[in-house]
Amino acid sequence: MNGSESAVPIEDFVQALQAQLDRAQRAMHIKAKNLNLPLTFAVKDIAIDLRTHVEVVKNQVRVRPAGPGDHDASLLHLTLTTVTRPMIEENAFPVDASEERLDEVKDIPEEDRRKLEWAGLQTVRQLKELHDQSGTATIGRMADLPIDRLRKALQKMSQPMVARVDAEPGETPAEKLLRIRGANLMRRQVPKVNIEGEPVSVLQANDRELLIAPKAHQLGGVLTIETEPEYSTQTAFDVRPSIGAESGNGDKA
Amino acid sequence: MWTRPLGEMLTDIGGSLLELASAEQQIVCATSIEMTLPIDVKLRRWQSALVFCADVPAWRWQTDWDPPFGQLRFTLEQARPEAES
Repeated sequence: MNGSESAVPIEDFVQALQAQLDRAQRAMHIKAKNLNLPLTFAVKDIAIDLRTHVEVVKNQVRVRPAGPGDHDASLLHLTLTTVTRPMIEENAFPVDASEERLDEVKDIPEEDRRKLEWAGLQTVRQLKELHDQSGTATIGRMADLPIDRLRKALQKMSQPMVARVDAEPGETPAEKLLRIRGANLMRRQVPKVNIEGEPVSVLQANDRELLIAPKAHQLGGVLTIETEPEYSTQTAFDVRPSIGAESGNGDKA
Repeated sequence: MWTRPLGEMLTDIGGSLLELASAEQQIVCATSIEMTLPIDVKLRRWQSALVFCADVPAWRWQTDWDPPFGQLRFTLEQARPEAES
């Protein structure tokens, strides 16, 4: 390798190697098909020994090829083998594409995110689940992160957030229900919800949606949702019928 | 000398052995081949992607200005083309 080439992250290095092996497998397969041969050769195992310098930059392992006369370089030994589709599926990490990934969270610095990924955490849901099960101190130890910084980031990520408030159809204002959509709307127990300081019954609750039964005079104002002490949000809303629509029902509210 | 991507070199070697694999009617045939080769490795960027280039050294003798050679060991095994995927 040329010593003037800069260091590359080891995952990019391995991916580049894998891409070449995949390419060779495909090319040999096509070649055999074109020549109408019943059998071909496929790469089964491959091992590579390379002289490289291994560096760690901001928690990222990088490899830099050894240059001419570079006798102090480390020996990198890579062994790869072919895997079948069932093996891939068996070992693949089930991640829902709609789930928020840790690299999308602004509150976690890249260095901390990398440490969390090393600890096997890739999504916000996984981090929250582990936090609920084991606590901040355990994650801090696992990922070698300062507990205070992790606690602050987790608290920010776990704060409830309201995206929209919709009124569910009802004959009279008193029968109307409100559907609240957002994120982190429920933690361990049903959240406390109030409108203008007055409690409201919660009929259904999950992480992304709440269904509440407000009184007739609670169809507008400041909505407060508290999932746990220190985890709350406030949103102003108004789903009261407009004056024109209201005139038909009389002044019942 | 231009160092080819590793996939091209492996395809060349595998392709030259195809006749051995296809000799189904023969009494003795090779079912797997293991090779160990010295390789000259270069990493190149092509359209922002990293390309792993590896080829057999251009010269038999290594000079002081050549980077250290790596070593590649691989096993090619007989397979049916339809079983590839």
